[in-house]
Amino acid sequence: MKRYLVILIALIIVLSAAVAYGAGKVDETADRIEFRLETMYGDPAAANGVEISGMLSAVRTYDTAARKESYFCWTSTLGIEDGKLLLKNVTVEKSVDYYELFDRVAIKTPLSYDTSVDDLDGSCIYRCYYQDGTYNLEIRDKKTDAVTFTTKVDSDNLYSDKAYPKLFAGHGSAVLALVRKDSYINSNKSVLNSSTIICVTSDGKMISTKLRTYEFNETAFYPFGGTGFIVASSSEERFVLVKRDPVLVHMDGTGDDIVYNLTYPQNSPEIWVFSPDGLEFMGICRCSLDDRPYSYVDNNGEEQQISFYEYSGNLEAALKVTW
Amino acid sequence: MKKWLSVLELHAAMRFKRVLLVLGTMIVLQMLSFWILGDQSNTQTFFQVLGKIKYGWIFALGFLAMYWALSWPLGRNETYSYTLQRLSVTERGSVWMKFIFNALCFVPLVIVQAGLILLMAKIFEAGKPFAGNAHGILIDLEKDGMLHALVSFSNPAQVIYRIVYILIATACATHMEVLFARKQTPILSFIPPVILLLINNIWYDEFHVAFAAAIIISVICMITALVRCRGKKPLRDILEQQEV
Repeated sequence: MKRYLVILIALIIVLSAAVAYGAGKVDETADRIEFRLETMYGDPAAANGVEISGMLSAVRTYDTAARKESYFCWTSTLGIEDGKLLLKNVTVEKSVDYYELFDRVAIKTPLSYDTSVDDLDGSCIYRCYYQDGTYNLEIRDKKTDAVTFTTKVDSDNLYSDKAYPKLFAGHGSAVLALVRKDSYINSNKSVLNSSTIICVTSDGKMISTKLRTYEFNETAFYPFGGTGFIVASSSEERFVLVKRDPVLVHMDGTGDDIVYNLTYPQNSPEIWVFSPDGLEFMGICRCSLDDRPYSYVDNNGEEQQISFYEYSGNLEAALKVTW
Repeated sequence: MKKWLSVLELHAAMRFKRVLLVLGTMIVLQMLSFWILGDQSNTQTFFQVLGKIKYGWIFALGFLAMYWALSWPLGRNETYSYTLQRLSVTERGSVWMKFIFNALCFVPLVIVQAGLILLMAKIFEAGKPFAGNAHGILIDLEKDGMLHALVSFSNPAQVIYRIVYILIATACATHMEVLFARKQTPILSFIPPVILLLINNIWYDEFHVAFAAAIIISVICMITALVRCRGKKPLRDILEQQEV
């Protein structure tokens, strides 16, 4: 009879030791989980090839004892080295809470919108700025600095203040991408919205293109080298794996459907990266809200994954020093 | 001391096989559900996989089965009952020994569950170097109430919570065993285990009131179990009295 009690106690001791060892191993990573890449806000218009500069980014910090989250903010550039996406020139700004971070992001709302890009052939500059409730798009000759074309877009047509226009420059043309308020309710009682794209050629010709309607909660525009740009939308709740159906729109306003069947959470911030000449789409670098791998889409439209360390090796070192 | 140890050994001998059966079944069920139901594609996090396999409910089954193992009458196993009655311990003392033995059985149940979680995390991490990295595993273990309570040994508050949890379960199992032995239905002692399981699986974020209720009811159960037993005469004397 004695052996049963001995076995039971031995079982408890052995199991406790094993589990304590295993849990200890997990806890060892606690000091390394203090920061996590949460979100990145970059202006895709600045994606002029190898680097995207001036991104406002943030990490979610997680206090494992208090089980509380906070955010940490920095600016950085995103670059490509040896085929890998890397964060470079990380400058840590300050620790912020969520609402402060939200305020920082709000800087990029239309009220302060003013951006310009060079045409790829170097002959003119496209500028879009917000003034008196209106978006102004103008083309300036680079040599004479004379305004050769200007047009206005009523901001009442904007879908939301977060959907500020995106200005992309190609070879001899610019694209101003807008999301307009053309929303209606379909038979499934879903709100449908449509996107209106305004393309401007260097000779001042303006082509307005209305994209097919989507059921979307957010819409994003990404430059596609010098050939057009991609409209991406999604329709599911946060953290739900969704498919996105990006549409390639050429500079002449015609559109091709390129369907990348991606599976990743909505609201997962992302940066679309292009080759140094701006003509080749390198992939989407995505920052995850949880521990999914950072992934990108290669030129074949297939989803690839890179590890946290490949992606943010420099970031980790920079933050470790500053923390 | 030796006589108390003998009682404890006797309880262990009486219930050992049942306890092993419960632990073994829970391990098999958890691992089977992990392999079969857990979608282990790269897009899944460990947290999502755990959600799919319903590990909390399998633990709940194991938890209830442990009650059966510890409190349901042994039937024709008269040898142990007779031996117990020949010992010079009081009936109340025997109940305390049952309490200690029951605690010794609930401890491995919780440890086995924690170990299974860590084992599954290890398997998940090994299979997916990106999706299942150590950082992600830690976050998963931290953000879920039950997982946090199970494996966060570095957090003293959670360790105390888990000890109290085991003591509540132990007290109720002891109460059940005493009442089942008297061919009575221990309705009161069914309540705390149900509360504990609901805390584990549904109420883990707002459990304070429910947990306090479970503590109070389990204390009442334990007191009831002790009051119903005779505390002065040894079992041997009672048996001899009955034989006479």
